[in-house]
Amino acid sequence: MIKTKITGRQLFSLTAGGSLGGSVLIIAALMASIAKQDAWIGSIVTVITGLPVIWVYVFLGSRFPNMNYIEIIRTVLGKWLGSVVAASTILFYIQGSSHVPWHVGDFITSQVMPETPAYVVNALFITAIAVAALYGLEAFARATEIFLIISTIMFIFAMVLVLPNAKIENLQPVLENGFLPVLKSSVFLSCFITYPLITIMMIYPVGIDNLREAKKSIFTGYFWAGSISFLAILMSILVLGWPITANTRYPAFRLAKEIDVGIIFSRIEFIVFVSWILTQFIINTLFFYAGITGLSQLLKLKNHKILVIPAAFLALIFSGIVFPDVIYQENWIAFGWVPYIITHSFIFPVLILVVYLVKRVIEKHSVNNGKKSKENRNTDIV
Amino acid sequence: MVDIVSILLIIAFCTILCLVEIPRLLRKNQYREFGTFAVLLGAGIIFALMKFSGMTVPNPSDLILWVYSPFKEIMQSLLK
Repeated sequence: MIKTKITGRQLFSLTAGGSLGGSVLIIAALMASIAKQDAWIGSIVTVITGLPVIWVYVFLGSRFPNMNYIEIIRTVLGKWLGSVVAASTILFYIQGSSHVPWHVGDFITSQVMPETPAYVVNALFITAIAVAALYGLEAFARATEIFLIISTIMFIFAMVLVLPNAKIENLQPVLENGFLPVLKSSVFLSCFITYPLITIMMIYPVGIDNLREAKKSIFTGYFWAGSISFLAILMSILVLGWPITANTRYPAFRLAKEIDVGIIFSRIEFIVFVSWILTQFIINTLFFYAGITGLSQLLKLKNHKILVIPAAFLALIFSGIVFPDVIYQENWIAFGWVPYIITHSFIFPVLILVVYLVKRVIEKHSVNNGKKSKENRNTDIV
Repeated sequence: MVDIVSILLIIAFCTILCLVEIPRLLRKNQYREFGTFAVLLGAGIIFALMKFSGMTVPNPSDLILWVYSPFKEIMQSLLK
């Protein structure tokens, strides 16, 4: 269905931006509240434990080079179970695309413009996403190349400027409570940097010419995002210490407020915000794009662009409904989002992989059994 | 609390969108696309009118919380 092709470099920036997404600004608080001063070890553990998950995505994609994720689901799991899983995945994508604007609106209304209604901010943000989806994947992928560079430079710049305030004592004692809290915190971080990459599955096998290069760019993008979020968490704990990090709503933003080099560089915390909102834009467009292409795939529509504006309108309305307040949202992250995304980005792909491998073993077995193989294979595929 | 301005804005926006898109879809005989478009936009309008006329809108997050409520204790133990 999608005829546009993107390059490996664009896939790299899509992966890195999508993976950074929501994590940079907010996740350090949750990490620090669980793992305390060892949260930075948790981010290394997350990147390593995420590798097999990314490998599952890459492997599935490389087996079905001309299909997107919804088609892969329906080919492997069959028509009925496949359609149920696909519909659930699409709901997950669309729901995800109305959560991100809530964060943007919440940030703007709580930190910058307290009297502006959140819907105004959300409407601006969603308009940008709808425009990106209307322009198509190619234009959007080219834009992310620039966005990722700006975002990374801004972020590194902020981290370098805040470096003089770092106190190494904030990291001590290392592993005071053992390794278990670190592992627990990595479960939460991986829901923000590893699992959202399921949205890449709607682009990766079908929109790519060179699969070998694509594998490499997905992994490098993932490491890129992993190292930046590691830096964010490490610096938050180094500078603020874990109690402040755990009790601040936007630790990385609070961290950038500490920047005070001479009297020239002060009050420039908004460079972190720029870096954050660009990656938020990338992950939200990925969710949105995956949702509408998936929906038009499932319903066999010829043109997915007709769905962009109604779906964006729906996402805008729900961006003010999904979370009534901050307490609800924090509760939902732990009890709703984590199991929800684990189901869709870990359990389903692994299920598909297992079913695929079992099918292949049966197929091989029937080939070895002799001439009946052809009929068996045909029934297997049907 | 009824928010008249938002409701009027939404009605205006949706009318213009329908006037622009629907004739184009019907001219090309894309009835499947038209159905999906109508369902999505209709749901959007209904929820928007409910939201801005002060009614409580069903929250999809509540549904997800309910679905995963059996795992609540596991998540609770992870948070400590």
